[in-house]
Amino acid sequence: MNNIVLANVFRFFGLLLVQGLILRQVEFEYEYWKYIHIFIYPLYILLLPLRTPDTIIVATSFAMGILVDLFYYTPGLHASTATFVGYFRSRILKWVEPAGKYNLNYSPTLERFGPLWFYRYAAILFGIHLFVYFAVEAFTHVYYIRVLLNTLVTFVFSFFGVVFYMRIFKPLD
Amino acid sequence: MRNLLYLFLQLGGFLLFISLEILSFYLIVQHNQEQRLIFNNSWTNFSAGLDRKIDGGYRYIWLGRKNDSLAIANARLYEELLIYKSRVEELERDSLFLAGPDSLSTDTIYRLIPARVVRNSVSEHHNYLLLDKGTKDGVEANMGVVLENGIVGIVRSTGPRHALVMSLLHPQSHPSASIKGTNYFGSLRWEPKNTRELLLENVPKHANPVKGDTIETSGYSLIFPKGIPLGTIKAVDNSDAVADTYKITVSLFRDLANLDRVYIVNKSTQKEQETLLQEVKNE
Repeated sequence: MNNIVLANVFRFFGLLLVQGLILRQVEFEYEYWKYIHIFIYPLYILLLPLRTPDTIIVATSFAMGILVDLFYYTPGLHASTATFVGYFRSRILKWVEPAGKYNLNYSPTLERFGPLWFYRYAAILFGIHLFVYFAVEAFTHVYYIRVLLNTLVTFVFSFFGVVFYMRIFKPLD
Repeated sequence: MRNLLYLFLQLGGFLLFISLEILSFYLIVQHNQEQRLIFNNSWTNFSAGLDRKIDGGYRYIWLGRKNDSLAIANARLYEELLIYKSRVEELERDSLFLAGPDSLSTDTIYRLIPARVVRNSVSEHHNYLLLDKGTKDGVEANMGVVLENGIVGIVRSTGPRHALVMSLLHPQSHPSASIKGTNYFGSLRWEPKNTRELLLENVPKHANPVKGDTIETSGYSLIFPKGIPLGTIKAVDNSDAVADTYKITVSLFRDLANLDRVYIVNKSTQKEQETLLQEVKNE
């Protein structure tokens, strides 16, 4: 039990630092490359144990978001998105629930539930996260093409990051 | 108890979510240049639209009051028109004489009191109207009640807040009217069958009335100002070859069955004229 908490605390700070110090450098000024961003910190929200109470998910998601905002100089942008995804995680989980019920002692990981289930779940959560983020960033419905383009390109690159993470660390819980 | 706790936990998550989102958006709008501009712009648009809606609502609510003030403004304009008409007439009459500016100082002054019809009847044999202005507003008996294009009747009696008006559609009312452009005149009389038609009697045959001519108030009455258009000639009855006057059917411009706002005429010289006529009668 304590191991799981500790693992998540480590993951929290690890992802935050990777995102804030390394992936933030991935910013291109060229015409079409400017849509590329890599966001990997939502993995923290994604991988929280199934029995985590809603309040804790929402609170720590907000904390993660606001800390990422510190690195990105965009107060509130990542925070609002992360809070949103954190709150709706339980609904997404209910949506992709496998035939048998969840074992609440598990975390929603590749090792526990298999690649098919996991990547579907990750794709939904990341898709929502990125779309919400770019929609909030645009702050208006006028630039919807830009929002969709950003979401799509960033989704592809971020998902590589997710696959890498899962393959390298193979987190169980 | 367990369920209640569970419910609170669920709700706690929701409340936390909402409050953190509000905080985040506050931060976004407060500290991000681009988003703040968009937010301010949208907010201005939204509140301006809202203002317009609210303003429209208020306008609708105050429509009655607006109407009243417009009626007063109308009355003032109509008043001036009547005064100018009487002045022009006076100037035309006096143009043969070398009239100094003083000669205009004895002008007839008309004051109009805007009023609303509270009760109206047209189907009786003796028709009366009730207006919402009385002695408190300066209304007295024998004042005329007019419209922009017609006359309504004569004030018979007044209360503090109301006035009873003998309608034009009353056997006893026969105001004098003339054919526009001439000074031939006759008196209007109502035959109790049609609220839109009156008879104009005692017009001499040599006045040569033609169908379609406009009939207006003659100004020979003590009560009504001169030159208010009343209606047009609908038919001229010349079947009676012996009589030297015509019987003319006049169709009115305004249907007296459909009245809302009217003007009560206060003519400055009416009292004087009445006393003069009274003296003649007493002799």
